[in-house]
Amino acid sequence: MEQQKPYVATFETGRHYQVHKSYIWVGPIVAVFAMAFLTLVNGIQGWIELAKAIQAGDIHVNPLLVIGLIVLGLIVLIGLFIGLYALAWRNMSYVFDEREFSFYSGIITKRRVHVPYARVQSVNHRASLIQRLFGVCTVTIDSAGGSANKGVRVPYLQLETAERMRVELFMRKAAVAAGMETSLQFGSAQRPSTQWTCPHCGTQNTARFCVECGVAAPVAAPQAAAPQKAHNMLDGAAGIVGDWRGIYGGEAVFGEEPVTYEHGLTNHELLLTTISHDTPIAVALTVGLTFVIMMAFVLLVQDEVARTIALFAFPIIVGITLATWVFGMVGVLLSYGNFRTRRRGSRIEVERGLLARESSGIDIERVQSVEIRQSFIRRLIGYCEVSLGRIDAAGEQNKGNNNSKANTKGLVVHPFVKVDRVDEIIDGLAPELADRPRRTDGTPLPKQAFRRALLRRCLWYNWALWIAVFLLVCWGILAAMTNSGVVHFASAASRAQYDAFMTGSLILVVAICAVITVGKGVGAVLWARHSHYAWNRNYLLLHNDGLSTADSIIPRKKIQAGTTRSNPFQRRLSLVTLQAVTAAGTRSTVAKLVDVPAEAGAAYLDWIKPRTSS
Amino acid sequence: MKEMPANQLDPRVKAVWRINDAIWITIIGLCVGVALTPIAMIPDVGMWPFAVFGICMLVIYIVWLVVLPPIRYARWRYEVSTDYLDIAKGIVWRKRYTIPFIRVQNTDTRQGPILRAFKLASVTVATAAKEHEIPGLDFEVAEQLRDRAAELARIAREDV
Repeated sequence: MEQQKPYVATFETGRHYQVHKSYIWVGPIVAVFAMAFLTLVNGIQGWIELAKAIQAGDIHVNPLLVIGLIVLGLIVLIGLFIGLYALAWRNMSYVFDEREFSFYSGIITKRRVHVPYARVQSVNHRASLIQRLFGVCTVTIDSAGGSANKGVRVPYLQLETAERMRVELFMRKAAVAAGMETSLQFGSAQRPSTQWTCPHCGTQNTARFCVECGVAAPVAAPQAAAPQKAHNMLDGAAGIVGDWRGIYGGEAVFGEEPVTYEHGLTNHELLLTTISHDTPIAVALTVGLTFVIMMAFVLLVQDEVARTIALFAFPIIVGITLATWVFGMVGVLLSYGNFRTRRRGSRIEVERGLLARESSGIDIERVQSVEIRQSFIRRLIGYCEVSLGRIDAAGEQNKGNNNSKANTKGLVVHPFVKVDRVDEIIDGLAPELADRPRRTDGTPLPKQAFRRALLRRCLWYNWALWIAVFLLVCWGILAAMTNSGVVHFASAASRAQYDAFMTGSLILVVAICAVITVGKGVGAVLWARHSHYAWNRNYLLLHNDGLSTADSIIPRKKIQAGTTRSNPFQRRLSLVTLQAVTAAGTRSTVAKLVDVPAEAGAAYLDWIKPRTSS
Repeated sequence: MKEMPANQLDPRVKAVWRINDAIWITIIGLCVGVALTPIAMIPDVGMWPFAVFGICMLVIYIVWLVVLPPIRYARWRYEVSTDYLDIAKGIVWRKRYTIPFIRVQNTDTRQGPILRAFKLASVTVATAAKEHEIPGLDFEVAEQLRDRAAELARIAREDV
C-alpha cells in the first residue's frame, strides 16, 4: 500500500476561511427589524397614549419630522449594527488543520472552538427563511462526548460551502482514521460520474472519492437518481422552492458516499401528518377548553349581560380555536414539507422544511434508541411516528436555537407511517438493527399490573380527581357557611342565584373529572393489556401502550445504567419498575416500564452486566 | 429478590447525614417560622399555631436525625465487581442500579466540609447519561475505590 494516492481536500489545510459576507448585512437587518417590532409591540400602550396626546393637541409635532427621525434612527441603528457585524465578520474564521477543525470568533474576547476530526459525529445545517433566500445556512458540527458536548456553530456559509464542509469533515475524519492526514492533497470539487472505476485499485465507486484509496473521481455527468422516492405536492414545487439554492447558494455538491435507501412523504402522508399532528391539536384544545370553561362559569351566573357575552363569545372561541389549530398545522406542514430521509454510508440523513430548511444526520453508531410513537389520533387510524434518539449538544452556542421539538423527539425519520410498514422503514434505514426484538416477541405484564394500573392512573396520579376533590371540599365549606348563616344574602333572589351557580359549577367539575377519569381508565386497561417488554442478545424493547403508545428499542450498548425500583405495594406483589437510562437528549433519557415481575427485573439487571468470556 | 450487594458505607456517614439534614431542616424551619410571624399579629389567636409548628419541627427532627439515618445506612449497599458497579438504596422506594464499567466515563472523589471533618469522601461514577454517587466512604477506601473504578473502566471490554 505504499503507493496509496492521497485524499483530495477542497479546503486548504491551515488556511483561514471566512464566512459569507451576507453575514454583515443580513444579520443586522433581521436584528434591527426584530428589535423595532418588539419595541412597537411592547410599547403599544405608550404609542396609543402618544397618539391620543397628539390628537388632543397636547403635543404639537410635525408628522414629517417624526417620520424623518424614525427613518434616520433606523438607518443609524442599521449602520451601527452593520459596523458591529462587519467587525465580528472580520474576526470570524474557520480553519481545517491537519487533525482538527477550528472556529475563531470574537471582537474583543477572542474565542476558538475546535473539534478534532476523529470526534466529528454529525454535520448538520439549517437555514431560516431569510437565509434560504440568500442561499446561506448555519452549519452545526456535533462532536462525540457525553451530555456535556458542545456543538460548533458556523453561521452564514453558502450552501455549496456547507455541503463541501460536510464532505470535507467526514473525509478528513476517514483520513485521520487511516493515518493519512499528512498526505491530503488540495484540489477542487469535481462532479463524479454515476459510477466510476477507480484507476488505482479498481473499486467501483459512486462517491467523489474512491472509498478504498481516496483517489478523486473523474469529472463527469450528474449522479444517478436515488432509489425509492415518494413524492408529495410540496415536492412538486421543488423546482422552485425545494431546490431553491438562493442567490449565493452555488452549485450542488455531491455526496461522498452512495445512498442505499431513501424515502419521502407522499401527498396524503404529508396531509395526514399535518392533520393528525398532536401539537397543534393540543395547543388548540388547551386554548379552546380554557375559554369554554371560563365562559361556562360566566353562563352559570344567571345574568342577562353575562348570557349575552357568552352568546357572542362562543363563535369567537370556536374561531380562535380553529385559527390556532390551522396556524399550528401550517407550521407542521411547512416544517415537514419536502421531507427526505436517506441512508448514506454509515449515516442516516434527514432533510426537511419548505421555507426554513434543515438538514441533519446521525451516524448509525450514535443512534441511542429507536422510538415508535402513536398519539391518540394516530392510534385510532393505525399510524405512528418513527424517530431516533440521539445525544443533543447542549452547548452555549445553541442557546439561540429554540427548536425544542427536535430536542425532545430526537431525529424524526418518518413522521407518519402505517404501523405495519415500520419494520420496512427501519430495515431500510438501519439494516444493522435487523436482529431487534419485534412486537410479537414481547412478554406481557402480569395480571397484578392491571389492578395497580387502574388504581395508579384513576386514583393516585389522576390530577383531575385531586383538583375535583379540592374544589368539592371548598364547595362543602362554602355550603356549610351559607347554611349556618355566616354569609348573609341581600334577597331570596340572590340566594337562589348563588345556589344555582354553586350547583352548576359542582356538576361541571364532577362531569369534567368523570370524563378525564374514564379516559384514564381506558388508558390503564389498554396499558395493562398490551404493554410488553422483551430483550434479546443486543436489544431491549419496552412497549408502553395506552391511549397513546410508545415503543423504545434500545441497543444494549447504549444503556448507560440499568435500574429497577419498587415501592412497598410493588414489593408485596413482587413487582418492580424497570428503567433503562440512555444518553439521548440533552441530559439523559429514561425509558421505563412499571410492574414487571421481580424475577424479570433481576434477569434484566443480569442482562445489563457486561458479558466477558474470560 | 436477588441477594444484596456486599459492601456498606462507613458508619460515620450517619453523623454526616444528621449534621447535613439538621442544617437544612433548620434553614427551612426558620424560613417557615418567619413566614408564620404575621399570624402573631392576628388578635385572639394566641400562641397555639406556634406550638403546632414547634411540635411539627420536633417530629421532623426526630424522624430525620434519629429514625432515618440507621435505616438509610442499613439499606445503602454497593459492590464493585470486576466489570460492573452494583448499588442498592432507598427505604420506601428501593432502587437497584447496575452500571457496567464499559459505560463509565469518569470517576472522582468529592469532599464537602462536613465529609472532610469526618475524614470521609464520596465517590462519583459518571456515565454519558447520569452520575452515581456513593456517599460517605473512608477517605482511603474512597481513593482506592475511585482508582479501581477508573482502572476497571479503562480496561473493561465486552464480547458482543
